[in-house]
Order: sequence, then structure tokens, then C-alpha cells
Amino acid sequence: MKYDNYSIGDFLEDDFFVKWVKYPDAESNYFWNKWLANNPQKTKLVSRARNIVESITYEHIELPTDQEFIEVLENIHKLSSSPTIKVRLHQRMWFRMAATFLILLGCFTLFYFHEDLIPPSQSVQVTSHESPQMMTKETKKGQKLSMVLGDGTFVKLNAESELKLPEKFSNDNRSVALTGEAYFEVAKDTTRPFIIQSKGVMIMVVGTSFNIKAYPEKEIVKVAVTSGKVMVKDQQKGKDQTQSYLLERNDLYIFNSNTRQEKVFRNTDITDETAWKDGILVYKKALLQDIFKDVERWYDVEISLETPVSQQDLYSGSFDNKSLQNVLQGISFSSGLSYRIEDKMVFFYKK
Amino acid sequence: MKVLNQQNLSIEKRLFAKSISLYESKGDAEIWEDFKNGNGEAFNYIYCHYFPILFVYGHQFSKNRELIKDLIQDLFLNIKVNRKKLGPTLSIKFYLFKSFRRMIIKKKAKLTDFSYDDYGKDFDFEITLSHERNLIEDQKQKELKEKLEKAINSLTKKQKEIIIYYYYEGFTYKQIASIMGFSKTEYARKLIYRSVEALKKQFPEKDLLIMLLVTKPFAN
Repeated sequence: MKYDNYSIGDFLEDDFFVKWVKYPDAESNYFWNKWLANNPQKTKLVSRARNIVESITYEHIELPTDQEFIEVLENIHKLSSSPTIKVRLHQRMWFRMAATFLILLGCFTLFYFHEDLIPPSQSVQVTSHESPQMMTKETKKGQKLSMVLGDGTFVKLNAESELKLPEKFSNDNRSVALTGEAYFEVAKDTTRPFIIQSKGVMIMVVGTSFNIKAYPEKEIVKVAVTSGKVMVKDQQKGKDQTQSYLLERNDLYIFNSNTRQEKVFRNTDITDETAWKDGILVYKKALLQDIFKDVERWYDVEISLETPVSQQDLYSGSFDNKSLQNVLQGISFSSGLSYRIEDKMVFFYKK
Repeated sequence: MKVLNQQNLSIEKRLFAKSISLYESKGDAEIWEDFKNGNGEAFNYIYCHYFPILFVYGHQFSKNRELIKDLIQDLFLNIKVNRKKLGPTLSIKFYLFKSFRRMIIKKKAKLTDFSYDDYGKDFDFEITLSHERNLIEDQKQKELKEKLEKAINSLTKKQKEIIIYYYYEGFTYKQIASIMGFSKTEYARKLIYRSVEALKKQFPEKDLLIMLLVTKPFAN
């Protein structure tokens, strides 16, 4: 018979054999069991061939996170229900090229002329041409605020943050000032760039989404881009275009407002930066006091440490829409500290 | 470093218990037909079954997570929007792999001038021999296993790719030829043949015979 003098290699090349290993059915089981019964001396050989087939697998198995699983699914649902999708799928390449060009053109032109448009250090009177009525949107501790601005831009303000903006955007730009943290999905408008001033950093875009973290007590300002292109720079650097950074998706810009040092991480993992907008607190190697500060903001509580602990210990973890109790328990578990809640105060202490 | 977050059930099982129980035991032709008729549960089933598989597969071509996610998104978006125009299929996995591979190759060709060096060398279908069923304790066997792994990974990129399709993903020669864009099924058969021959040269039959001595009983 055909298989009588087969080596392991021959079995590995045989379609009928491989199919039996991968997808055994009544027919192939019948055949191979019968053949093995007639050729018992071949049992070991066949077992080994089987074993090799069954043990072959990818060396690198990169699995999606739950968040990624949901993110992609949500995008599919969102995009497929939009009526323009069919056109978009076909024209997207062209559209992207054109859009990129326009954004770049827009940004460069604007950077060149920006000082005529905005007086740098004065964050409130950002639109100087007209005399617009300014308004302020702010959040207290424990609050988050989502809003859609007049131009269609979506903004989600994190706790204890403030956004200043004109009641109506002018015809040539859309300028706002931010203190604290916010996530932006800027509506596309190539004729009116969107400009954010935040703690000495100027961020300029045409239509894109990104996160800015610039709380007053920290010297660090972070800009994380989730889509599109974003132009950032230290405001003190004035007109000089070469001093600005063009950020793309997944780029993270970090600015130190004390030393005025700027740093850009290209194509990095920025999911932690934007997780807050989905109600997720994420830490990677964070100091306890930084975690406390965020928890105070999110849950509107005061935390105090009754016994001194090491200021150098780093903590990692995440809380997905968890209650204050849950978060405190998590911290307690990791740090080995106990806690008690009195009114709106949380006390951590060593037992 | 301590991770605080705990999740026991996979997200698919938590979110799509209904879709899974509805379609788990059904054949591809039927699932596909339901999906084409606009059945949302069928779409969910396809998504939650194939998203992780395509994710792992895509990473063999590029380590860029965002790129892979974008392409999977485009793929599902495409079939969802155009579902009425799609033909029938007996293997959803084959259909998705074929479309997905074409998209990745196209995309990667366009990305040549971008700097993707940050990710280092691509995985390029590197292969390992798992031994979850057979605990190899014997030193000699361990060495042989490593030797065989080395031999497999010294094959060309295309050879490793086809080995994965054939032995791991379980595609037929005909499907593989179509996925890899060969004009004839025969080429897929030849490529497997050449790969195994190359292994044989590096790896004498007697070594293969000693390997993986602990065998598992046949399943039937």
C-alpha cells in the first residue's frame, strides 16, 4: 500500500494524513485506525508525525486586550451606521492624502502667522480680532463634563479642570484655553484651525482627537494623539517653525513647564493617557502620592497618609469604572496599608 | 509590580454569550448566510471568533498594534457594509484570511517610507513547537526539539508562512494557494514539499523518531 514505506517526512507532506490530524472525521478515522491495526509496527512513527503537526504553532502570539476588542467593535458599528461610509471606503485614500496636505498647509501657515492672531501669554483673550464674550466651563472634584462646542468639536473635561472659550468662535480660528485635563475630538474645519493654550504650550490642529493633561500642581504637560495630526510647541519659542513638533497618531509629547524641556515619544502606547475618558484609572509604575491625587479628584475625597511610607515604591494596575471602595481596596492590597473612611476623608495607615 | 485588575471570563464570553450559544455548533455556510441577511448575532459571532485569530495572524506581518487594529476594523467594516454583495463561503476563516492578507500586504507596501523601525524585526511567522500536551523532561528530547525548531525557523519567510497555514491553521492546499496569491494549487503543494525536504536534510529521520517520545493517544 501507498503508506507502507512512508517516513515521518512523507507523512508530513501527505494531504490526507494532515487533514486527518487537523480535522478527523468518520471516514479518515476509519481508514487510519484500520491501517494502524494492520501495521502495528508503524504506530510510533505515525504518533510522532501527528505530534509534530499538532505542536507546530506561532512563536509570537500577540493577543488583543479587552479594551481593543471593544474599541474596534464600537468603531465598526459607529462607522457602518454612517450613511457616507460607502463613499468613504472608496475615496478614503484620496481623502487622506488631501486631508494630510491641507492640515500640514494649514498648520504651517498658521504657525507662521500665529502671533498676529493670538497674543501668546494671554490665554483668556485668545481671539483678539473681535471682542468675543468669553465663557468658562469647569469641573469640580468628582465630576466629569462632556460637551459639544459650537463647531461640532467634542470635549470631555476631566475632574477639576477648566476650559475657557469664546461664546462664538471667530471666522479665522477656534481658540480655547485649558487648565487640567481634557480629551478633544476636534471637528474638521480646514479654514479655522483649533488652537489650545495650556500651561505655556500651544497645540494646534485642524481635525483630530487627542488628550491634554496639564494640571496646575504638576510641572508636566502631556499631549497624547489618538488620531490625525497635531502641532505643538512651547509658546515662548515664538514664530520659529523649526521649534514646533508635528505629532501623529500614538505620539506622546511631554513638556516640563519649569525647565521648558520638550520630549516626543513616537508611536508609543498612549492608551493609559486617554483611559480616563472611559472611566478607567490606569497606572504603570506610578508613585503612591500621584495615585492619591487622582483618586481625590475622581471621587471628591481627601486622602491622608497617617504613617509615613516609602515615596519610591512604584505601583501598577487599573480600575475599570470601579467604586471608591473598590479602588481603595486595590490600593490597600498593593501597598499593604489599611484605610478607613470618615465622612469625605480617607485615612491610610500601617497596621 | 502588582496588577490589581482581575477578569476571569474572556470579554467575548461576557458580551456575546447569546451569539456564541446560537452559532457555536452551526456550519460556516449557515453563519455566513445569516450574516449576509443582516443578522446582528451572526456578525457578532464572526467578530468575536475571528478578531483574536486575525490579531495574532496580523502580528506576523507587523508588530504595529494600531496598524493591525485599523486593518481588522476596515476588514469587518467592509464585509458588514457590503454584506449583500458577498458570495457564499464554506470557510469564513479562509475568506477572512485571504482578504486580510491582501490588505496587509497592500498597506505595508504603502508604508515603506514611514519609520517602522521602532518595532524591530517583524515576527515573520516564526514557529515554535508547543509541548503543552507532552511534557518533555528528557534532556535529549529537549535538545532535539530545539534543534527542529531552529531548523524550521531557518526556512524562508514564505516557507514558514505556508507551514503555519498548513499545519497550524489547517487550510487546504487550494485555500493556501488562494491566500498566498499563487495561480495554481500545485505551487502550494510544491512549497510544502520543498519545506519538508529542507527540514529532512537538516534533520535525519532517526532523530525525528526519537523525538517527542511521550505520545498522546489518538483522538477518535
